[in-house]
Amino acid sequence: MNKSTVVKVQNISKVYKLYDKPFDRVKEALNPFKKSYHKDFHALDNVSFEIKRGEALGIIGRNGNGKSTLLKIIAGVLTPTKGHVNTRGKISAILELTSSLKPELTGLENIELNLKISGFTKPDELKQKIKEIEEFAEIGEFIHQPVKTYSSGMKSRLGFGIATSSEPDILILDEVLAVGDFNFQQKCLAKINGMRDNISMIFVSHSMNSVRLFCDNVLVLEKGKKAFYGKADDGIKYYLEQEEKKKQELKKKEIKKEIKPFYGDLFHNKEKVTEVEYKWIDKNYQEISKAQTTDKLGIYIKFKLSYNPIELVVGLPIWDIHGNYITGISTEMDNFKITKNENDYYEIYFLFDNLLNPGEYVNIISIVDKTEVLYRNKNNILEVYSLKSRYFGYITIPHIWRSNLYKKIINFKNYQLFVDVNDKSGLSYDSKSSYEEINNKLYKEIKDKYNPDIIIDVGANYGFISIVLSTIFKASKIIMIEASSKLIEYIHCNMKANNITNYELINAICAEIDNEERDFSFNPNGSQDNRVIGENNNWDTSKVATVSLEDIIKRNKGNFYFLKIDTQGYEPNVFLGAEEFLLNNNNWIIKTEFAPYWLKSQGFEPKDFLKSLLDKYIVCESPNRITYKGNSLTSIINNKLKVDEIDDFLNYIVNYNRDERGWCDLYIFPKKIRN
Amino acid sequence: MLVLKTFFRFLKDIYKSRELLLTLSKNDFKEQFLGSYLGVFWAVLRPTLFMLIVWFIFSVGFKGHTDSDTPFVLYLMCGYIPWFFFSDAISGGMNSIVGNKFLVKKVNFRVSILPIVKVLSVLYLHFILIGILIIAFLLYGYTPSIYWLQLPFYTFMMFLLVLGITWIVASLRVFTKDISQIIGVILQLGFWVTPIFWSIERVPEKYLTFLKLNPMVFIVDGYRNSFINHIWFWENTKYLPYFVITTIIVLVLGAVIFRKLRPHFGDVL
Repeated sequence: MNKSTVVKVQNISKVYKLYDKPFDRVKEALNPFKKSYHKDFHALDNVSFEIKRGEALGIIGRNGNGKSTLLKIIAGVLTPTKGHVNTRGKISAILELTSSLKPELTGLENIELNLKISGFTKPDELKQKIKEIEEFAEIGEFIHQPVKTYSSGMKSRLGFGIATSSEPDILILDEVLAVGDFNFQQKCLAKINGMRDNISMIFVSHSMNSVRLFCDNVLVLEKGKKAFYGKADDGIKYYLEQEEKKKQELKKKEIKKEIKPFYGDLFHNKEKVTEVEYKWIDKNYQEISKAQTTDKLGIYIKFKLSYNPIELVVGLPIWDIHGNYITGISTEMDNFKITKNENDYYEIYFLFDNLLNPGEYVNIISIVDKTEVLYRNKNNILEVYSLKSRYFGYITIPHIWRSNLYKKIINFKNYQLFVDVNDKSGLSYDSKSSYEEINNKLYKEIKDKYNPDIIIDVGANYGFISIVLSTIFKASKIIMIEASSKLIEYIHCNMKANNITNYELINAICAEIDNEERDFSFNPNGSQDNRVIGENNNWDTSKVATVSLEDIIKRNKGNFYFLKIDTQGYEPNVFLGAEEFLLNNNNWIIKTEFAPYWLKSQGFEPKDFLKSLLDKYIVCESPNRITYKGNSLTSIINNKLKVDEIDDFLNYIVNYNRDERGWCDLYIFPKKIRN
Repeated sequence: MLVLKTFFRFLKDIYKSRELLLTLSKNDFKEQFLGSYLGVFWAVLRPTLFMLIVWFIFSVGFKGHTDSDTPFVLYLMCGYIPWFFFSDAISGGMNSIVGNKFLVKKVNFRVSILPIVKVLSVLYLHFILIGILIIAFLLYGYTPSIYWLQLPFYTFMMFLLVLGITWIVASLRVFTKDISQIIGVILQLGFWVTPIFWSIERVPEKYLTFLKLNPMVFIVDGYRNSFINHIWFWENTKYLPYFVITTIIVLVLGAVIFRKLRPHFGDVL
């Protein structure tokens, strides 16, 4: 035997001799002429394998396929009929958790007895071990009571504690984790995990998860024969495949036998329903019998009725081939009214994204008038296939995976900001911080003078500006509007990180009207330049509902409003949506981005927009890097834009950056500005 | 030869587990007698009561039956105490394996020591009874004689005999319950064919050889020879070789049968 090998099992067979009477066994064992008194039952058939030091071997297989017999042979409780087992080191086995306990002895005596049998004789060592087991088993005062008075849970805990405390070199566990509650299982798992490095382990379980967790190698037994031996993952896969095959065979037999099919009786009221047609269709309405997973597909139904129905309902239950009811959808649950076409036909198209996993599916077309069944028939079997290999369960729900969602940036004052690490523009907030700090003075002046109680942040992105604003307008409610649903969770996270609780977050495109679905485009180069209309077809889009500022302001009554607008060229629509409020009230100040290049990308003429702003409001440039004109509210207002300056201003702004991408911030005030 | 080899390997195995043997037998003894309030008293009471009754019947009821001038009660004790050990050890040892399933199903446990544990545990009680026997002799005015020293020899020989028998019956008992009944009957019969309260000298010559097939005759005789008749065991030339050979045969047979049946215990229990 190799030095690193701890268990070597060589060509083991176990034949159970089935005797009619127990005493026949004695007659046979002692018979000098070796007369046979039995019938043979092969529990194990020529099994051999080796376990190395520190290795964990899982043995899996159905009940009655020889797992426990094998363990008992390795443990030395049973004797193999043929072959032999060599083991090196002390073996501790938990074959039946409680079998090592004597019912008449108390828990303590049982512990002591078992430890002595395991060779712990020194009093100190014994005491230490007893304490250890007592603590593990958590039996409390009952430890002084006979084991026969214990609950099965207590017995299991005690048995497990004793078996694992004897410092074995080889630990044999037979279905140990099948008993006991969840806590006990976890405790055992922890204990096993702790011992794992020093000992070799043989583990029998029906829980594939535990096997995967603990075992390096797996032995699959089938009817006493070695069906598979190899890496744990491969072994489990092999076993599950075999199980699935058996199940299928069994099911097939059952289906043949079944008199009444799982989908119920078929029925056709020929007087009332005629010319029924139905088929599976693809997204182009062509008939199909096969579909790929994730395809768009549907069911087409056409029929004629000989009378006027009271309340026509079409139901489409779907089963898999084994009779599992996958889903059932009817026109009734969606309140869908079926109408006749000009040729008196009822035609229905039922369309859906295929979530079904590969397999064959049975569909029943059922036509019901109120409670009267008119028609019930089986659609063709739909075969769903896939090019991928791994599927689990009945359906695959639409999903995305992400990891490393957050990255923390703390580079300014006490603000904390979390951004998506995959978002290129998210990381650029570092550079923005300094210039928002300049604005701080202005914000403070606005607070002192007007004390706005509602702050609206249109185009919130990661919520950075809202965070800055919240530190100044401490008591105000902050309303953020952000169209990108991907950013919503970050904003919530950032609000939490900065202890901002008085806020409302709206996932919508801020526009001129409410509740209209529009495409919103995601810039692959970073979320700060997401736009309603993307620059080219490569941008991903998703449907987002619109909301108007008018509506938000109506819902949030306040004494004074401070609005920050930054929507990458969509500002004209944002203003349009608030125009009625802005013209009729003077309790507001707006800080908006003015970016000619982006305005053009959204289909607006920058000059027209600027002109219309000047017509309706007082427009001033915010003090920033371009044409700095003082740093107080009064100095800004004193330098308000005049109509004859528009062309020069626009020219100056546009050309400030390369590619005519210059931009600036504007402060907008009502004509009748409050003092 | 093979039989002897098996036998010696068997003895070696047992020698290896001698510490465990002691612990377990002490446990067994304690468990049996120390659990109850009166403890060892019960253990002693049973044989004592029996002897009292027999003594009462024979020395008060039907007087004058022994040839010697030894008090009948001492004569009786010399016979009954070894017999009590013999029958108690065999009937207890018989169930030693069946009653300890939990140990048989344990890894690496030498099941062969279970019968020994039981016999040892009964032996402890036997020592107590011998103590009582000695006290009884002293009370009747007997002075300790050098012949008393051969008592350990007889006890040891009886121990070996009992052990061999126990190995046989304990392993057979695993397979069938009938053994308990059979042994019960044999022990009962044995009680009457062993000269416990009657004297072997009174038996007619023609039955004597037949009676002496019972190895316990040698033991009971031996106890009496030590205490009463003052005869050395080697002086019993006729019976000694027969007994030794019988004991060795029983012991070897017991070990071999046990070893042969041992692999099947797991299948049945």
